[in-house]
Amino acid sequence: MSESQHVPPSPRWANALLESFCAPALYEEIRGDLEELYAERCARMPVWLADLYYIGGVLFFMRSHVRRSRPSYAHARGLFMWKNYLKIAVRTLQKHKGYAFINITGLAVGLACCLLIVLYVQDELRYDQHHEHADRVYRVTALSHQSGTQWAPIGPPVGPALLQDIPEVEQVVRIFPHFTKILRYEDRVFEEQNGVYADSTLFEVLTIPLVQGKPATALTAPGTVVISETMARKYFGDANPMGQLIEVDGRDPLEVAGVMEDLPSTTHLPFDYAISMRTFLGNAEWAHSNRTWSGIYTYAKLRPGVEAEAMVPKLYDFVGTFYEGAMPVPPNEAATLILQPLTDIHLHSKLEKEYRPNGDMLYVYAFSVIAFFVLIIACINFVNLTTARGVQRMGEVGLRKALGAHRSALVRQFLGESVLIAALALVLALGLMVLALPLFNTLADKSMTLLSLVHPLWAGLLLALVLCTGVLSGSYPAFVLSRFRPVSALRGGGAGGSQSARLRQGLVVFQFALSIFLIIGTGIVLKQLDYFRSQQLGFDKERVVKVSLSSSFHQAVGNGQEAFKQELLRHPTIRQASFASDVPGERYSLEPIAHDGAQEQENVMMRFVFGADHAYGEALGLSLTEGRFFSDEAPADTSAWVINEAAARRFGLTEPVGEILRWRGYRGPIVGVVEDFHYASLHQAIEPLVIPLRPTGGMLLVRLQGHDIPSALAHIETEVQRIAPDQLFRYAFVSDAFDQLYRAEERLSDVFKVFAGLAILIACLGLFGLAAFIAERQTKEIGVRKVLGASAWSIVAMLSKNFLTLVLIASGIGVPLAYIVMERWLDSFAYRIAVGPGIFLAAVGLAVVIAFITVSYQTLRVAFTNPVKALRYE
Amino acid sequence: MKGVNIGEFEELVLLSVCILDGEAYGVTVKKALAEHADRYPTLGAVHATLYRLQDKGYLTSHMAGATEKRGGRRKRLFTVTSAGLEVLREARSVREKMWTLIPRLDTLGGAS
Repeated sequence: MSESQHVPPSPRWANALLESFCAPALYEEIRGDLEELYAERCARMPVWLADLYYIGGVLFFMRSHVRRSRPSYAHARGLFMWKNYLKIAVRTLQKHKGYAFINITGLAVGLACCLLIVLYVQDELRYDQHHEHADRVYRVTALSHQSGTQWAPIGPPVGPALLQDIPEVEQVVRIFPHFTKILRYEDRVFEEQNGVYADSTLFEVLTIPLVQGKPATALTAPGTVVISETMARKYFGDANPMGQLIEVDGRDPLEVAGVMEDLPSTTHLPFDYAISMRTFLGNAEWAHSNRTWSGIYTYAKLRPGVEAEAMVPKLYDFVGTFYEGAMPVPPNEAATLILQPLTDIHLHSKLEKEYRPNGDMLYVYAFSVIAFFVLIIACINFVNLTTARGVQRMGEVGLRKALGAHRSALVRQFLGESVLIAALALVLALGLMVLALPLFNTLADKSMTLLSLVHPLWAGLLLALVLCTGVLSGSYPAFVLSRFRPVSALRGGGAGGSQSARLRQGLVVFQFALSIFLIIGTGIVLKQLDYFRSQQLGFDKERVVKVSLSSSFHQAVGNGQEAFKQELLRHPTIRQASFASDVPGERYSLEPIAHDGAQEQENVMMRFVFGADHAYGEALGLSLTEGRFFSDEAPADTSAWVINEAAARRFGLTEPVGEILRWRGYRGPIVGVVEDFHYASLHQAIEPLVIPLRPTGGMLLVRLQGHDIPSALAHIETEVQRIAPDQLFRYAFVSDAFDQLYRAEERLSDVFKVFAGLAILIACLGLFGLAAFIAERQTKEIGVRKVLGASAWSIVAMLSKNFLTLVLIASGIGVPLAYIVMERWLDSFAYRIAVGPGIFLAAVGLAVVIAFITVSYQTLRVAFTNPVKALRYE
Repeated sequence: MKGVNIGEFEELVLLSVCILDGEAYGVTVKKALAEHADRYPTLGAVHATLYRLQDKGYLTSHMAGATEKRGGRRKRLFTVTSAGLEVLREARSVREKMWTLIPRLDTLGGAS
């Protein structure tokens, strides 16, 4: 071998690997041998080959177990020690049943919460994913530049035109809600609210399996309907519904052409039956020419591989040509068509005129964060309690060490114990979940089952969760406890005095801060809700009843509406009745209104009452600020307007009465201005509203006075059925309908209540354990004090004082945090409460009281023990 | 010596150590096996066997001789012990005895 030959360095990472597992004593010679061979190889073969041999050699060394690190220690192989660990763990748990119970329960509650929330989040994220082509299906929406509103539905001819003009569009389906109707088959009559009209292409775009009937043809002919399995059972029992005729509102029978599987709850577009679109549009002229009406939900399935962005220029061109002549300005300046991915709708879409109110991504985030925090609190508790108790096991630790246990063995033992407890907690958590699921479903307004948990992904997740929780929670105690010197451990010296106590106190503070935050949050949400409900809305909401009337009634009553109203008014409790189309609490349409005499002849979108007769104002109890309401004595009133103050302001009218407003073909003077009233929820400011006189309203608004409500309702029912005998009598109080608007907040308050309760429970569990531990540690000190003459109560005061300071510090964190977050939440409402210091003080006070009660059991117990016993305590 | 057995590969390694006469360590034993026995074990196998033989008491070792080629690292040199020599002799004698016991040796294994 030539000394002068340059030898390249041997592969570095292989050396690192070797160094990591090779016993230090043998490393030198093994490495030396490897290097020697490497040098020789480099001389006679390419370097990369020599590298390969080298790496191979290192890897081989890993196989031979003689090279294991620390080969001189003989570790107990196999499961021997674990049997002992298990035995000790079980015995420890049994010996301190109280602590074990607290520990396991606290962790179980935390796990159950977390899992329930995960279930919820998973459900929310799953919406509309079940459609086979979900990644290619988009909802076509229209953004109006003038008003800035984006509409979820669009005009009827748009869909077919898109299909024809844009090759990237593979298929299109249009869906239109079939508003509340009475359906009848033989003697089974029900009011249905969940129907739609749909194109025959429905089954090509969305995935809706048919139990009976052919997807391609079920909805082609007019007058056909596809019903859900549940509906089939409801109307036909076990008989075959195919080909049978269902009557709608007493006329227009529909032939059942198919039975579909019930739609899953995870869809933004739930419906129980679908009628062929031909039935609705038929050959109606307006259906093909009305391009700008925002009425029909249109879904487009794009060809595979087409990106949504690629559609943007195509849609731009389409809008330019399609809407030519339909708008006062060039179409592309007026509106843009926007594609919404189907799967985004449920969580991200809040457009005008949604089919149903959608969920909110915000809630998903909020719940996820809460789940995370709850789990963290539970784990913190676990760590706290385990460490606290672990100190009492120093004797065992010392003995094991003296007998030769390695630190790693001790760590393994304690980790194993915490994983065991985590596993037990998980079992308990699953049980709790089963129990709590119905309540949770009500809370979250869902119908989830635990079946989805049977998925292998879930099993894996649960296993990982248990391991993570066990390891995370257990590692601190494990490492701390295994650290100490055996000798001092055997003597019973305490575990790290001040720093671990600090840590533990910090954890308790964190838990209480979170609890205080949740308490305040609950309080504020409740107050806001109360505010919503108690606010004066500007009309007589408590006493207005709305009665839904079907077309069979209207056909029967003909022109006898006034006479019918007179009959109603004969009842003393009925003050006024009005035929109307829109009632506060429901969505009021937006229509373009123009003001004659405005500088620019532009249409302003305003909330519009489609049908209102003379009595509308009195039926609702609106107050006028100027002018008068409609009167049947004034002949010119046939095309008059009443507007609200906001509308007057919007048009910039100082003297509104007499000004002319136009809507489509309706043109007339303003005769009166009503005070702004809340026809929509208090979430938003009052928008401009205009009321034309168009007695085409389909529902009846009745204003009551006095107390005899049941007889008034009975009277209405009698009168209604006198005119239309098989009209189902359906009524609702406007105040109830209004309260429905705040369901989101109600649910939020329920959620807050539940979580505040849980957080407090877990925090108390933690505090309880901590208190016990500290009290016990100070037993001797207390014994001495008592002997020296301290009264029991002063001892209690002394012990309690520490905890109270902790709670106060927690308030210092929780209160500002709550203030910031809740202020932001309240800001999202146009009408909100002012937040005073009262609620914060109440929350802090509540926390203090709870802490005191929790701690008192321990402090009292210790304070009243016989000092002699305390002093003998070793 | 009853109950003390040595594997075939171990025997070869042990023989190599004897041949190398004080120069025996991982690399040289590996080369010796290649040259004399036409066997090509990995370095790791050789080392494992050397250590095993040492644990059984057939070899002793000491550290010596750092060279530049090994990056300044010393090598561990193995020498055979008397016990090791004994077990080799025993193995050899057992084999030779059994060979002599084979009847009709020249007709074994069929016509060649």
